[in-house]
Amino acid sequence: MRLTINGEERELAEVSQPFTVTALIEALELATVRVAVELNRDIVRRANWDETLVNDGDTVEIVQFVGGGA
Amino acid sequence: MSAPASDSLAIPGLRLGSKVYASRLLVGTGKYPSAEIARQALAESGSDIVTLAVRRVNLKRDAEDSIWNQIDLSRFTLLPNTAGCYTVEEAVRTALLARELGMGDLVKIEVIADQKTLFPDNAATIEAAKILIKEGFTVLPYVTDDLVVCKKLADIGCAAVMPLGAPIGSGLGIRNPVNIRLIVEAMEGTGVPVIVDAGVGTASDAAKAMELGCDGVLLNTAIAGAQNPVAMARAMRLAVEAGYLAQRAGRIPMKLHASASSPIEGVIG
Repeated sequence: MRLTINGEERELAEVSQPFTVTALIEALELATVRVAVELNRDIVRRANWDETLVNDGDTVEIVQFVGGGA
Repeated sequence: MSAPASDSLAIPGLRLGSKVYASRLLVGTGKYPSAEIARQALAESGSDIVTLAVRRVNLKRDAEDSIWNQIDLSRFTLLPNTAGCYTVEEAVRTALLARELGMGDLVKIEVIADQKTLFPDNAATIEAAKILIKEGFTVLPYVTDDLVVCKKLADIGCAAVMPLGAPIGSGLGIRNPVNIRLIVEAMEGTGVPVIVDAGVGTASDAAKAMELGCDGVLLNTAIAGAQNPVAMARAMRLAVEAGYLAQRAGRIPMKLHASASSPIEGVIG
């Protein structure tokens, strides 16, 4: 499955089916990090990660808090 | 038993949206030399509100963990900012993502117009504020020290206005105290607090902002970039309190000529 994640094109081999946002987060080893996910410019609430499918060609933004004032 | 004298000098909290915060100093979390220094400085500042930015997760396996994942921020109210955004759309998306990160509905809007000075695009900020207020956010907009812009932001329902003192990280202090004072006067009676945000360099700058009648100060670089951030954090805490009290203590007027403090009679001769 080819995805654009955080601005980079990535090829994910052997994705489980169904490939949900939860599965993507696990595949990227981000399960323990507090992140927010935007799929094709729509925010996917954490409560919906298990039911939201990620499809070939999708664009994903995964963000976290970092230090910053301005 | 009569109340201790210090009660009359107690500093009331800062109201933002539906909450009141004891500290009038808001502190950013960028550019600290280490997690431990950041942790101590934040504690020393006495701040209740800290700002954080929202950024893409680094997906490389050996990426360094953000120090902010190592520090316990549970005692703070987090104020996500839309730093790095140059358009209304980016700012709105960032704010929505920040809320999704589970941090409540406070947001500091920054829509930047110029890379060198990081001055905000006031018109875009107003537009982003309108959208986010409708989405239920408690909006704190970062703008230039322009009273017309601040009035517009107050009118549309922002929880505060945050005029800059000088460019972000410049340490130049309050470059135009007259503008800041005019904004303070314009906001009187609106219930909208004025928080100087950006440009503060040292304690006297923070005190100056408060003496001009501001309700709070937001700063980051002044503490994080100081050689001793923990000491500067305490200095800032004291400065904000000192400025607040001085402003309400009714200072003496400025006079061109001397006015002796000691009695004139009884001098030996």
